[in-house]
Amino acid sequence: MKVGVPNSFCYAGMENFFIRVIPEVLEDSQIVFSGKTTKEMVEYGLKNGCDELCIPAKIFIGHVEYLIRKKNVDVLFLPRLVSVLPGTYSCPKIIGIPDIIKTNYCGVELIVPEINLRKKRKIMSEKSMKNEQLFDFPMAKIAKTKNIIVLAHSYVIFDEFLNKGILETIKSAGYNPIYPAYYRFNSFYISSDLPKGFFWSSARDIYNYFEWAVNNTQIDGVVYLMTFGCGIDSVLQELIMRKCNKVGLPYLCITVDEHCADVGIQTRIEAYLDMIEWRSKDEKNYLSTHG
Amino acid sequence: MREDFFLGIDIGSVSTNVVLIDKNGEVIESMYLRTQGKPIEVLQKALATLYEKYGDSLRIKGVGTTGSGRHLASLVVGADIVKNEITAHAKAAIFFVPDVRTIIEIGGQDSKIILIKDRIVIDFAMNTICAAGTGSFLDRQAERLNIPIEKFGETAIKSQNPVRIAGRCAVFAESDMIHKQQLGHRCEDILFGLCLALARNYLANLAKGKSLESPILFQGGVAANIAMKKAFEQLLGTQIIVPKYYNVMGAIGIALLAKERTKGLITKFRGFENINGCKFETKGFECHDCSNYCEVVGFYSNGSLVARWGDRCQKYSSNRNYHIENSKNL
Repeated sequence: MKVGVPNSFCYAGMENFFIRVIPEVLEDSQIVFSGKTTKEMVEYGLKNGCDELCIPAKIFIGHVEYLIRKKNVDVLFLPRLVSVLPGTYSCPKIIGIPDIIKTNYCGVELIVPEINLRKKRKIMSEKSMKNEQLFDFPMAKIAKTKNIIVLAHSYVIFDEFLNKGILETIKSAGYNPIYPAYYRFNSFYISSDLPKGFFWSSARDIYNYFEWAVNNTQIDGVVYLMTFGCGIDSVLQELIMRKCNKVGLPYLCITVDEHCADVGIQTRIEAYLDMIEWRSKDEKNYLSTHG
Repeated sequence: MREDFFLGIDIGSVSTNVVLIDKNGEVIESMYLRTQGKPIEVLQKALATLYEKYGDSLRIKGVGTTGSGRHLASLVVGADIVKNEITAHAKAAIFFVPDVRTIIEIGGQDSKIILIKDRIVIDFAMNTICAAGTGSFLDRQAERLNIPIEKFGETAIKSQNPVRIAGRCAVFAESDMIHKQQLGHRCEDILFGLCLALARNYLANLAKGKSLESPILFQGGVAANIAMKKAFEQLLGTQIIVPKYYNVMGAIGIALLAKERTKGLITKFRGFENINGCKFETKGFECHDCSNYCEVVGFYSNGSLVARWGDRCQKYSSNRNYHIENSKNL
């Protein structure tokens, strides 16, 4: 049996988890991943997604369509990620994505186990859930100087199509991009200065990483990659912008959407890096806003 | 007299600007031309005019290109520096007004705000997909009311009682305008109302959350419109400076940057005769080697390939010979 797994959106970085779990629940299964996002998938996604979805979710639909059309999978494995970090919930679009797929593709069989750390009883066996390690992303290497934090959901950071190669652009300008990776950060638990915790797990991850990096590393700037239509981003972006203004860090927010040509993003990021360069060259004139 | 000169080229969506500065940064020549969708031809023409006027006495020591057509222009002329328009505009503004704090720049299709402190850019913003607050929109509305764009400012400034127009979106602003027109409002009141709406839209979209400190510079093509200046002054409650070379500030900035960059170096400028004698062409095709369907663009000078870009995998841009043998795609 061919089991299709779209490894984008909320399932990005879960490849190792799927390889571990699927043979356990389905016998004689052959796992087919959709792979990297291509323009073909984006076009499928934009055609089939409804208006309210964010761009990553639309592209996810494109991954599903690709698996069905081109890979002839028998069944799709789409766990419902209700809660993947203790005390939080996933974004509602992530929780509902199996239902969106169900209504879009009636003829396809879906397997939708629930992953919910808020519930005591777990559907998956204890063995496969050990360490609760669902996601596996490479952590960013932090350099001594010239770090730039790129903040975004992991499915944007690790999707070159969505982020339009922004990490490469930063690297080729001689800076070191550092970024949060989902759920890799729990070991260094830090207390945030916000009066109230986040409801959504991804927001907590991104904000905690940001705060940790500001306090513990040498950073030159902060870039927020906002995805069009994302509710979490719209709140988080504002919080991070305010904090950057407070501590005097150069801040840039870029919105990625379906018809954004690379040129606009390139111009902004170039100008932003010029600004940082200009600041550091003119050190004696630059009054630190740290006080 | 053979002096050292520096050339700045700014190719925007609406205008192509070329300036010539001397080694002190003094502007010797400035040209503001309409791009009209043919950036290479317009640039070649501008350079030919310069060459006709000065001949061999022009010794170009450095060239810089900026604007959305900067990469194309740099291939045509052989630029020493290729920089984005934000840096170029800031550079020129600081050169003319050293203590400038805020730059309002409105061009043909985009608008920017640049905040400066102690001669350093500290923050900037650029409009995103919406072009409601830019020159093209003003141009179109002026055309609809049958007023030449050059007369827009002087007509609008006569207004005593501007009408209220919603400037949030270009499409809705237009229907709002038509409505006001059908109610019989005077033309100048509608025009100034439009200026106020655009200024409000600009401040709401770009300046949100930023504090605009004086001195404020207003540059870009739209700064020619005195009614826009008045609208900004009214909304901000402060004086706004429109610099002398407001419409070619980007080109001046990049010329200044080229001057800095080429200090002690030999310019890559290809020479006027070489540029004007060449036939430049771009040809594109959609590559179907993988499912990304990249649009690959090639740039040719006198029929030979100079550069190629647009491919994600970089097999065309890194290897010029790739696919030449089976060039059925090209």
